[in-house]
Amino acid sequence: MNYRFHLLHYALLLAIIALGLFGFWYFSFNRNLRFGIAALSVLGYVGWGVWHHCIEKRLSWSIVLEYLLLSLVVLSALSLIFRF
Amino acid sequence: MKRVVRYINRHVAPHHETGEKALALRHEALLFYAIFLFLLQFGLHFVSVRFPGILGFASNIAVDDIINDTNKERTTQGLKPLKFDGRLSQAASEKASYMFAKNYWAHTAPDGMTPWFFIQKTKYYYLYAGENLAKDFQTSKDVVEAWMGSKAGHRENILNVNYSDIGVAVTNGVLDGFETTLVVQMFGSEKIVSGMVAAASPKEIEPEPTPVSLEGPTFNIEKKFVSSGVSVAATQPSYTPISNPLIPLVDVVALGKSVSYTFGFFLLGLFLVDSLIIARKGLVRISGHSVAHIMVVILLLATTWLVSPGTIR
Repeated sequence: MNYRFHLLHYALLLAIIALGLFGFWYFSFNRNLRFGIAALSVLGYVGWGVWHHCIEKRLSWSIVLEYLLLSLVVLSALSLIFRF
Repeated sequence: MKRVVRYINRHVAPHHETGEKALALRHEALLFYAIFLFLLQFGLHFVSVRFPGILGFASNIAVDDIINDTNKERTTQGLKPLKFDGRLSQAASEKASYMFAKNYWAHTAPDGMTPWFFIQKTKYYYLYAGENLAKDFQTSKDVVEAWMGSKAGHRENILNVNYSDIGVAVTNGVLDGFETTLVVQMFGSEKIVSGMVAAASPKEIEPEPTPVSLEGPTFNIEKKFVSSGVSVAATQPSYTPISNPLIPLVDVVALGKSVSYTFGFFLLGLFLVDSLIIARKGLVRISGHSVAHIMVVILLLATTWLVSPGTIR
């Protein structure tokens, strides 16, 4: 995979993360939306991981689990503050 | 000493003995962090409800500050400041207590009770009335800033030229199983008859107050008013600001933020070390990309830093 491929993929992930952060900030005063945006952001991250590794032809259950577990850690940490 | 260094090295840096992955980043470790955070949330919730004096929601919201900040926003826009009205404050206080008692967080209660009931109960017979709600905020400034930043009618309430009076209640309690501070802000104006504010008996008021939008987050209504000619001086209670900042030994929100920062920076450090070593060694392994993981951890840190846990209605 070339440099341009990785750059485009990471730019897409950055856009997902930035959109999630903006949404969380913009709708910060609505508890339900806050949870929805946090959940969608980490789902986007997991989806990106699966898609990216699939294209790289290196997708395995271990990798999917890694993305899922880190998403769970991020959601749990956010829930400590925002009481999802 | 060597053993300690080796132990730390295996946990924080990728190594061939650990499958080129730091032990602190393996699946088992990530699962442990998630379970730990999950259990910690339950534990904090349990302790904060059972022992609110030790671990609780610490807020420093004062009625006076809310009123002053609200009036600052109005005067900045060239509007007249609102006058404190004890009856509106009483209505706001009763509304807050009702929300705790009935365990709801809305303008209209599940049993259909509207804010206007609480206002009328205090014999404040309004021409216009409105309500802003907030919870889980820690400072008065944050509350007013959230309302002013709202696109859902809170800002319009604060800057409404039809209001002349304000009442605010700040009440602590347990809502939805979580300890919190509720802020109820009520606005209103009474009809002026012959140079004085008049009150009317409930029977004389027709029709019943009807919110512009029942689904809307704030209400701003107009109703017909029939005066009985009673002056406000005879009916208005004295000014008794209600402010009860709760200061537990440990603030549950600050603790949550600290834990979130700790985990965020811990994971960020681990992934940075991981990606640097893997790049330097030029290793290829079956694993997720650390750069992607770094991005999601930055999302956690930025959200913790930028966003207030408070909500408004």
